[in-house]
Amino acid sequence: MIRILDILRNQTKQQRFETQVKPHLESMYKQAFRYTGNRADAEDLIQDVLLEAFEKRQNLKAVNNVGSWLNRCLYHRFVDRYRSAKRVPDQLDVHSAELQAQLVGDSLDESGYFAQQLLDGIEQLSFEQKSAIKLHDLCGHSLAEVSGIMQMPIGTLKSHLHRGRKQLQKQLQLKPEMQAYRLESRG
Amino acid sequence: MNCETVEDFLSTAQRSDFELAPENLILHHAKQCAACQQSIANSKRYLNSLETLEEPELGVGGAQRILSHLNAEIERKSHTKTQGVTPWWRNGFSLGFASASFLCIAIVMLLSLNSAPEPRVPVAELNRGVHEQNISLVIDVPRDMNQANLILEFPADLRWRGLEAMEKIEWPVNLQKGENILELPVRYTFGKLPKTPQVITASIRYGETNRSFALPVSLSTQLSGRELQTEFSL
Repeated sequence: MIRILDILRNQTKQQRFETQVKPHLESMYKQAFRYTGNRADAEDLIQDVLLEAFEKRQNLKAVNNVGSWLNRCLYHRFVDRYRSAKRVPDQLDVHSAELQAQLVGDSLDESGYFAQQLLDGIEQLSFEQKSAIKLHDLCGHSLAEVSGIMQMPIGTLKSHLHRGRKQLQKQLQLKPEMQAYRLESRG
Repeated sequence: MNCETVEDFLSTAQRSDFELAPENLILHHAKQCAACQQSIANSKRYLNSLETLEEPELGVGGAQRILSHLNAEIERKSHTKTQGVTPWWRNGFSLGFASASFLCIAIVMLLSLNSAPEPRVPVAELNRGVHEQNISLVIDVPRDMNQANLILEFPADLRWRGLEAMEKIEWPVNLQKGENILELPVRYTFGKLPKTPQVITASIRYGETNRSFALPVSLSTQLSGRELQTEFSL
């Protein structure tokens, strides 16, 4: 009897938690996808954050804006993962350009190529610069929102964004743009 | 409105800002300032390039998948918590299992000590005869050259990685006075590596001026990591 009551109590807690987080999943996913670069890792990252949030659901009651709280947790979890991945230097990064080139092979179409060029450029930036660019330019968050997520003063954030964009523009400066080039196919 | 204000505006501008911003003021200043015109064009180009990126969508199915995995994980955790946890060394089955595992590991280790180590195949060799290399193309120009055209022609089996179907590519570039560096990842796709250098023909067209350069590329057998720097100047 106690066990059944326990299960029912747990289910109610889960349902309540689900109702709270469900409206924010889409936005979390967009952000997680920009951090990780692929769907599977993005979902995995969200699961990690939600599991932690469920365990700390008591804190969630005091939170005014659940969406931005979750976005902040997502960012911090990603930073943790990034740091622990950096501590294992021998591990082959599955997103490395070298390995991706081998896996993708000839299947990369032209629009994929231009997108890849841009993503490669972003990955070469410093961690703060690329986070600022991903959150502000790719996810469309406002400066105030990004400042909240990264817990960084707006002035510092603007400087990261400015430097990151400059460097990215420099990297892309000589590369051909989509619809702005002429190509001749073989044969 | 001055250059600093324009620069400040551009440092965080998003696409929509160009429609909503006091564009008349910016444009008014930019009409008289070539440097700002260039900065605005670069900024717009950068923001437009973001359009090429895939917009990820989770959808209903994805959300459901995440939530059901989450629920399963919560169930699993709460189940482990509610179960009276007996130390494994007091559990006869666990103790037996641990002893058997220890014995197995010992046997495997003994066997592996007696056998010759298996040759490890490096990742590079798993590649299906595709050889890649990064080339840095350094273009040295005596002055700013906006809207110059850069043309690259590739030999038969050598291609720009990602644009393998193209043997010739031409696109407009804004060259700045001094060194301009183009990172060029190339891929050699067929047969054995050639012993003689492959030649990429690079041309720059700027107004009436048109100059071509032959860029010999020696391909190494390494997939990447080795960078070749090829310079040419106008």
